[in-house]
Amino acid sequence: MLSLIVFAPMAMALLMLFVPKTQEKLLFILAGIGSLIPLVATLPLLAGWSGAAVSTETYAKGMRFVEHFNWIPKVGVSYTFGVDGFAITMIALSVLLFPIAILASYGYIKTRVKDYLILLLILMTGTNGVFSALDFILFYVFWEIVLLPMYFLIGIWGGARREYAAIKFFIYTLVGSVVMLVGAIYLYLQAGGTSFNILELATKTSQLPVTGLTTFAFFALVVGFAVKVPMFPFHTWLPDAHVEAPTPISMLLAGILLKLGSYAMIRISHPLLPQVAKQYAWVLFALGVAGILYAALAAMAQKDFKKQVAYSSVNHMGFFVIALSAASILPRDMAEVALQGGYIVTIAHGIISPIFFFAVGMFYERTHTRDLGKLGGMFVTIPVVSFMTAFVAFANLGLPGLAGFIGEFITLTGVYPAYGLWVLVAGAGLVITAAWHLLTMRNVLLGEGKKEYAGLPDVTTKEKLIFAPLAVLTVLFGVWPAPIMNLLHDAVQTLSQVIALGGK
Amino acid sequence: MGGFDWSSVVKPNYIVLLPILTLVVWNLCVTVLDLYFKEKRVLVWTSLAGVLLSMVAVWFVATDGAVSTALSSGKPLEVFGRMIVADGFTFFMQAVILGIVALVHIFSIDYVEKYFPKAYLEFYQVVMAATLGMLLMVSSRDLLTIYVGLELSSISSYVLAGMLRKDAKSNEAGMKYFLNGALASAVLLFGLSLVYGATGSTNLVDVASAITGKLAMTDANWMPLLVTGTIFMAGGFAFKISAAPMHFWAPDVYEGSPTPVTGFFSVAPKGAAFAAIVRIFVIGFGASALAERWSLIWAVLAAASMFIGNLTALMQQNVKRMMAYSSIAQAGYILVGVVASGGLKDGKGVAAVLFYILGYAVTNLGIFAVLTHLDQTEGAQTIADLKGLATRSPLYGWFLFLCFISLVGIPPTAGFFGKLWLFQAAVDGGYVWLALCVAFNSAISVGYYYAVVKAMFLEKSEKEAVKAPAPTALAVVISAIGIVLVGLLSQPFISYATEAAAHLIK
Repeated sequence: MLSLIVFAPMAMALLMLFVPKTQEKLLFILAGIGSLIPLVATLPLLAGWSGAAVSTETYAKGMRFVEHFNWIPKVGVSYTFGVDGFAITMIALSVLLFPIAILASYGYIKTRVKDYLILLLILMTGTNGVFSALDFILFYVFWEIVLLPMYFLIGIWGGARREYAAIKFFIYTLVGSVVMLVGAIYLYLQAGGTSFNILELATKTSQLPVTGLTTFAFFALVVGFAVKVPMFPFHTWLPDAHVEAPTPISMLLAGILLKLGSYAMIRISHPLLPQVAKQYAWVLFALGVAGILYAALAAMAQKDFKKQVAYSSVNHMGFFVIALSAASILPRDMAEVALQGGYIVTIAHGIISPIFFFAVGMFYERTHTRDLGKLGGMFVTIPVVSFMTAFVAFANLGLPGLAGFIGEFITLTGVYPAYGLWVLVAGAGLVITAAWHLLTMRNVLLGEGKKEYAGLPDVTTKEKLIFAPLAVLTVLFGVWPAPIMNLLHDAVQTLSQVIALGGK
Repeated sequence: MGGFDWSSVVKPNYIVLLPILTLVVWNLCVTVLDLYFKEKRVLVWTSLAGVLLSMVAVWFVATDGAVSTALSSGKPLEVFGRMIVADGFTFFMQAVILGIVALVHIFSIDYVEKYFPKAYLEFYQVVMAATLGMLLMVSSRDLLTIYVGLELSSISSYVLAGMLRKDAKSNEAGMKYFLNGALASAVLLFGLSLVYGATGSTNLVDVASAITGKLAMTDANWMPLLVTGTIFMAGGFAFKISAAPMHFWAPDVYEGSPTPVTGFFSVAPKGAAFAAIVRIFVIGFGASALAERWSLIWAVLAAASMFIGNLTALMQQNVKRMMAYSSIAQAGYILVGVVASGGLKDGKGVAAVLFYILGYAVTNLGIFAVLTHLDQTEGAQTIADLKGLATRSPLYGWFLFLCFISLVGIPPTAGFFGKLWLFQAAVDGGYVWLALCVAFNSAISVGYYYAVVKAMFLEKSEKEAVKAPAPTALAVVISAIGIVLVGLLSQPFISYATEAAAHLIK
């Protein structure tokens, strides 16, 4: 089933190669189907989650829906898929966001439609593959498959400075990932050089002493992932990439691609080297807090609406980083709280930020500007769009009752035992974030209606369709987060156990 | 005839020569046919058939009972006074070289028809002579035979480089290649004679046992002689693989030579020279006391090649010149495997070298197949000439993109898996810093490949659409399938390479 979720989009992309590029409508329909197959295939996994068999094999301990075949046995590389709570929530997010992004592209992307859709489907295969793979090499293959279509999606269909943004994104992530590869190979050899399976590696590498080389390996992995998260100070590609990317790609970038980094930390760097993670937890904490504060202040200073939202991604992912850092030094039961909180932040961000970018896109499509100084009085001219924007802004700043609040609240509670009153610094970040959201809303939505924007069309059915599912989830998880917590429960327990054991 | 015993006429060991003999005989026949036959194009395909037949012969020898029994007993079959040896390493490299030549046949046919109408078949005859030299080089365990093979392939290469007689750049390329190459050969030969003086043999197995014997006797007088010889040989070979600081000839020769010849140069002589390096250094000078020293020499050359190649490539406007610097950098990567094999006794380093050469060859030839066609039809030489190629020919655009990511080392391509085994060998051999050099250089190399990708995909061109002719399309498809399959289904290739390496180490 996981293979279907991963490879169905790729298969559809191959099929679409043979459709003439003038048949744009047909191409969109096919791409839609290609992205909906994984969604449909994920539903039974979610429904049957609690009843599904949990694997006890060494290569997939604690995982469900496992698929395992030899791939390059000579060097211990295998084709192993399997998911736990961390992975299945991300897959669910991914399969939900891709069809929405394709819908958002319809009518919006007008040039080279065929190339665009094929790349989008390949991207989907890449992300789903990263979340399913349990073998490092397999993981790495998908990790890089994500990189390639993203480059073209920004570089061909982006804004004015798209070429610069695309290559910046590419170089950053590539340097990060090759260094990560060297680190992983070092660990593989230290573990006996028999298997690249992440779980089997972890049982051995978590017992290694903290030496210069294991520290190098840990940071090689973490930096590779931190670029994707993005963690301060590796975030500088993100504002450029977001601003230049077309709206559907921004939605995906914020919604799912950043989660590759956070997921990889949870799956690889921390389970593999918890002892190093424990020793250097303060580094991650310091960078996380710095990211929260810096991104909040930087967002406040922006003149460009989209850039503002981009910085808020850095801010939110900072909460995940401090949660992970706290979890690696806390005793088990407290670590569980922090981990759960941090991970829910990433999930909530994955639901809210795409529609925030979409809201910005709705303004841009109508007014052709993202300059905060030029926008104003939108509640008078396009009330429904403005209401939608206000809704996501409140969700994004962490209003209780909406999804954004739960994760941040649990994170701060969970981090407090580890770092004491330093969490207040992160709390200050929350306040600043709230402040700029309110300022922006005042600028854009309130005030006198501007003459040049009079008579703009209000929301369309397509936009409602794109907005509705994520908005519903935002409210649902805001008041009833139990389903996510249940999914995560086992995985959080296992991870905190792994981290606690290795820390000894 | 049923009871006739062939072994009374032909020694069973001669089966070792079968691939080489097949190629020689077939080509002599083609040469004779050339005198009477007007349809030259058919003769080129006939020549290609000879290459394929020779590949079949490699497979036939490799699976032969006598050969494999001898191999498993640790004493591979040898002929010509122990000069030619039938082990896995030989088979692997012979197959790679023949594969390269086959692809060159396919994608160069239109180009040669246009530019060398009067020397249509002669072109392929020279290529075949070079191939023969390389086959000898990769099959031998004797310094002299390796040298003779090297010279045969080099002299043929000088001719190929200067083949465009009315083109000044091509003349310069031929001349430059010849003068520099002759010097490098002399240096190599001098090193070889010193090694002979120190050890009393040119057979690598005997060289190795002489060195072990002398090391045991703690006799120090021969050491300076041997080390000097090693350094001279390293210098000579560094020229042949275009490793820094002996790389200066490469950009001019690559730029000036006819494009299909550049493609041929970028992989075949390089691969054969690497095979010779691995054989000589790992078998002959494999003793740990020596291996430490030459590992370091090669490590320095490897790092220098990568940085010089990649950083200089960033500034190039001419695609062929850029590919020359890229191939200098690639030589640096492959050398990492040679370095690692100095310390590793399990053959991981050698296997990494072999696998990388395979992946590199299949990728680079694909690029040159496209470049050859564009050069032939519209004289495209610079990056600016490739503007808008992705819209003019989506096949070429996406295919070149695939090749470039393979050269950078991004999955799911052969180049990625090649780098992976190189990393692994380097880290295992204790050269983490070298692995990091490769990692950073991969990132630097994005810069110049990106310039081409950007021109192809993000810039527009007024020129009309390009349609790939059948031979080029065939080469492109073979290469694309190779890049993906050698990568994703690398298990058999890794097995062959490791087996070949194991035979060598024994």
